[in-house]
Amino acid sequence: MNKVSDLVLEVVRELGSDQENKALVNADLETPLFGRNLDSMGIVFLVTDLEARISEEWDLAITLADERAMSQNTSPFRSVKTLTQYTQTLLDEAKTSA
Amino acid sequence: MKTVTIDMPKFGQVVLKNYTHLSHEALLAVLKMRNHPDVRKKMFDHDPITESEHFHFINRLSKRTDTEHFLVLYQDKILGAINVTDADEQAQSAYVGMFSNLESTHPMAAFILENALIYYGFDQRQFTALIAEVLEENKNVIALHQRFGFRPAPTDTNGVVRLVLSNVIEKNKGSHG
Repeated sequence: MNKVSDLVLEVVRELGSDQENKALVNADLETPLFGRNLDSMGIVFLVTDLEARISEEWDLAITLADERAMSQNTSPFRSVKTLTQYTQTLLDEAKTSA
Repeated sequence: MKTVTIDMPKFGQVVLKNYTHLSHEALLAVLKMRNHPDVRKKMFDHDPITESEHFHFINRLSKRTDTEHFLVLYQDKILGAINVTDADEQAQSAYVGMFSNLESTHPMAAFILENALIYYGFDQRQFTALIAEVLEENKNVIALHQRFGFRPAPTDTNGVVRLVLSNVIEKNKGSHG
């Protein structure tokens, strides 16, 4: 586990608590997201919460929801693991260009 | 307007097709979306809509200038629908609403629908305020609007939450589009 996966898991679990979704409250890296535990409205909540937390934590602005996210071979919103990987990629890029 | 194409900075082109210019088949698809049980339960009137009522509604729309309903397409897939109703040209405001195509498997559907609503209202129609009225039990819909900047406003209607978004399109173009 690294800092990004910890943060993603924290945000997913908090959202699970808000949505009264046990699978998300007890989420681990393999927990599915879109299509199983979240609809597209839930993805808005997850993305906006995660972007805000990343901004607080690293003072970096990243965009998790855009055409690029949709063009990935594996959707970032498939599971906690894919979201963590995509978030890490965007953060690494943002740190490099900062 | 028959068809409106919106170019969103984060998502590219989104196409809005006015109900009044849709084919019979497309209007039946709209009826199916409107009658989805999870859509109906979020509406003020929960009863299923008959085909006859649906086509009367479309017919009435063609005679109104203050109300528009659009089917929203992204990359040729139907994501849902948005509407602008009771537009007040003097007050430069309108009531807005949306619902998803619950058969859509697009994870960004809610993002795109809400953005389409805001861009159409502010960018195309130049309204200065958009008003959404939502049943108070629809907590997720209220929270969704609030994520995009809508703020609660007073209302006399019991069981309804009124939310207002003032024109922030220029300020927020980078964050929501």
